[in-house]
Amino acid sequence: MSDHDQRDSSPEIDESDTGEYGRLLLRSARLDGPSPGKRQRAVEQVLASGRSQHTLRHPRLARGLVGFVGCLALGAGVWIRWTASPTLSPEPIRPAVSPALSPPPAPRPTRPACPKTVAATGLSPLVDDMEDQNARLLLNDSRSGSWSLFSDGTGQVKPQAGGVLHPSRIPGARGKSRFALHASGGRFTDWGLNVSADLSPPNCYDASVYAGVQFWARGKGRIQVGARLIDVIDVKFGGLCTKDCYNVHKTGVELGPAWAHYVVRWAELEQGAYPGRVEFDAARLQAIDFAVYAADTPFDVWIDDVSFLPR
Amino acid sequence: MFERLFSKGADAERRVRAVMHEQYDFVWRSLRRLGVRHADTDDATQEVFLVFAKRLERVTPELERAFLFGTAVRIASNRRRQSRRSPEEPALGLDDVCAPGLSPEELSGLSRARRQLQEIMEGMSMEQRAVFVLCELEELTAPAAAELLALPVGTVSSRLRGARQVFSQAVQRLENRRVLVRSGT
Repeated sequence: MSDHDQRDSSPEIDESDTGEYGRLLLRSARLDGPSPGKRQRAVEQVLASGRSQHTLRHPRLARGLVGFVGCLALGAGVWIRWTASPTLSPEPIRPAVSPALSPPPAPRPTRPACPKTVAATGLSPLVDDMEDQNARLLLNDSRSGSWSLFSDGTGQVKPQAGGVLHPSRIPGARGKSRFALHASGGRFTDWGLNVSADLSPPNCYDASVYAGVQFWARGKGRIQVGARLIDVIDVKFGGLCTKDCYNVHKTGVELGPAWAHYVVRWAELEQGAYPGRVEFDAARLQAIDFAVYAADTPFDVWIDDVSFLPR
Repeated sequence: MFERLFSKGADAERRVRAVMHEQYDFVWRSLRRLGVRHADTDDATQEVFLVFAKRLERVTPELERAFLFGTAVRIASNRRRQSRRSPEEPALGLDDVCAPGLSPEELSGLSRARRQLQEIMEGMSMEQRAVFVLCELEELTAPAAAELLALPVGTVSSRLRGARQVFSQAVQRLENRRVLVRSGT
């Protein structure tokens, strides 16, 4: 990016151009907003209007089919009486869910509650496509966190660990995708390193509406894909764990030299066979982790288009 | 199949409800900043979401915000054309400023500043104004604004430069006027 573009990309007007009064003008607009309670009223009015115009309750195809079926049923009624009970129901039907995709069981009552939970709607699963080249996640579905890279400090890692992780340009691109997360490094001797997406810090992120995560990746060796619950995070860092922390629910994924699409379902995640075990609950997420164990180093990993998996 | 179709209707309602809860404030603010009169902003916001509800099946979840902003720009343009034939908007009252905790003097200053900002933005083309709203007031980067507007980053940068120039010149004029008033000349 050129200097020129960087200036244009900056969120603020140059102070020397406009001075204090210019900033006051901009601040005045930032305080602008709808009156409290307007939103809820507007929601109800828009939905009521949508229903009265049949744009929401009955999509066009449904209306046509219902009319057609109604005519058929009327005609058939002359010939056949009481052959079948009506099968149409105006109530929303719960989609069938296979046992493998069933949501995890509710947390045990003894488990401390999340201080605050932000719930996903399931409408915007894309966590980040990296194309904006910044470390923030896309502001989809109440997510507000960023990418970070941390290591055990025993080996070399590029880019430098210990802070946010910005996307890198993919050599030769990957289809239309030009940027992805990239980390590479030498041999580690402790727990390795971790690339993580904090979802809505410091809150719990309720991702139970989703079935797992999916992403594109390529690289040398094996990574651990994990969903970090608030229960395994040390209380010193905003979690609820006081002993045997960071036993993250995870699963190993073998990467190859070519880009490939990977899907990891919540049901596949498991904790290590050591203390600190808690039942998995996708409503108590704090982060998605891509970790490399020391045993799997040296490493060179690219990750792109990270998304939740719709049910 | 029928069950799925009816379920689709319920899903549509759920989606509209979720998007309205998430994006209502953004759309309201955008319309206001794009020049819709205060008294018309609630109606215009509903209009945007009605358009969204009607075209729900054609809007992918990733493009919802972009669709809403694009619709807001079009509706703001129409409303501004109509309002040129109507009497001017009365001065904004203190109640119109959502800033709890400020003194009456601060509120009065902010209210005046906001009116002046609206006047300054009237001097921008709608294209410049849309970029200015996203980059300066919503604090998006140029690439993020470009994504939202489905424009090349270069085009957004160019419009942003033009808008900033209009803004800087207008602020300079206001500053000069304030100096003159203070010095009593």
